Amino acid sequence: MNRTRSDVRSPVAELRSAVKSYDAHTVLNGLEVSIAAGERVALIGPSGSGKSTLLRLLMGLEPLDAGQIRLFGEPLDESHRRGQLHAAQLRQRVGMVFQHFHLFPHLRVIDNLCAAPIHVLGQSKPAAQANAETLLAKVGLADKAQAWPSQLSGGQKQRVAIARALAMQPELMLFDEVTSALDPELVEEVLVVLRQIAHESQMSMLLVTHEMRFAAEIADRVVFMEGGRIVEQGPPQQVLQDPQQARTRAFLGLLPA
Amino acid sequence: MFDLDYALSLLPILAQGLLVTVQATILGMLLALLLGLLLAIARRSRLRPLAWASAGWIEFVRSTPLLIQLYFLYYVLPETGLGMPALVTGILALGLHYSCYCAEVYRAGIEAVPRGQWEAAQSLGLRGPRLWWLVILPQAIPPQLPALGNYLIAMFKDTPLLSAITVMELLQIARISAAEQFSYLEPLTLVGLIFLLLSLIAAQGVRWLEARYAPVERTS
Repeated sequence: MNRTRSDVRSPVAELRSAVKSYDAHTVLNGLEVSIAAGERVALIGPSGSGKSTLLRLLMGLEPLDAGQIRLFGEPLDESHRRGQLHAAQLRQRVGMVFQHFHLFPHLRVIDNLCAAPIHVLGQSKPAAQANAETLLAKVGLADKAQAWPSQLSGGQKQRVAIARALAMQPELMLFDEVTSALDPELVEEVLVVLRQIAHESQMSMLLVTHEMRFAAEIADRVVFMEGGRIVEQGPPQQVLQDPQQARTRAFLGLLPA
Repeated sequence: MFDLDYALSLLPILAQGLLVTVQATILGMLLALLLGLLLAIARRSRLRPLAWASAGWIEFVRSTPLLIQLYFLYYVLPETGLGMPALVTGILALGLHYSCYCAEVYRAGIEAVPRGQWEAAQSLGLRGPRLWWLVILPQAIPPQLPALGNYLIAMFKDTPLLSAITVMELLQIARISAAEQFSYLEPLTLVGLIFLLLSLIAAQGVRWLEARYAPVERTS
């Protein structure tokens, strides 16, 4: 693949000098990262390296201790009420898919997809349902519209969760280890869907993943993180096959250079 | 000895008292359910003063006897110009008192909703009342229905306290009849039996709720 859009367009999301700690444990320590419009970035690294925290900060699920978040070019300031509302508006353009799906268990599949478009975007019920059915067909679950989440397999749940996030028509999607909770034989059906989305849409994607081959396949850029810092980043071929840092080589199980 | 004819002659008037008792229970419970929910949500508010006020109010009401609250609302409040009919005062007191217990029940239900549900809703842009109404409460309340049902029964059994502020509920009517006839055995026995019967039926309902909303495996 030969995409160059990442170097022409402005960033959709940026973290500047981001610091985040839980109690005494510093997870991010002055992290700088930026995702360009339309760019697909794969975040790799050992567990506890701050990859998921990065996503959660962008989504506003955790407060930042110090530093700055910018979304779609606008800085977020959540120290006051107006700033929080502004941040919430910007985050409506960001979607997220979680490791453990988090479907709403009390709603049928179709209503999982329709709730936010109707109540947040103000879509009419028929419009939201029509859109939801299209999305379910896209993830191969057209026949599950009336099912309850508890009736689905893990792979099916995750595909519904992806469709639910897509229903909000986000410009940036955050995927947090979306195949890690799945049985091995269910991983591929989710990757197929992700691949298809990557090929069909112009959406920016930031993925935390342990699937190196998948990362190599769809990412424009691979970022290797450890200890809350970026150790190495670049095109997938370079980072995954010929990393310059000894730590990256060790993580990928490559022989020392 | 127990005079059956006298007991039967009391039934029509006791039925009137029962009507008042049931009315006080149902309206009091509706008030408690609604107010309790607001207190539970306020208690989780990010606005600290609101959360503290709610927690403090719950502790205060739960730590003072219902009878004193009734007296206060009926005999002291009118001095400030806020006089209400006895039954209205009784319903208000029952509702206020039990709302604090209901709030704790709701709180347990809300805390049992997994954090991931909040996060998923937030990531979809659902916030404020919509978040509560669409995602949190439908998951938080059903498992707590049996506990709320038990408070309904408890409140029902507390309604005789309303006789202390002149409400013509079941016990009050029984007591008046008894005083007129100088015979306490029949009216008080009947009142006891009526409470027993209705409580048993309600307990059956709670058992049904427990079976219906038994904690199921919640995979989302």
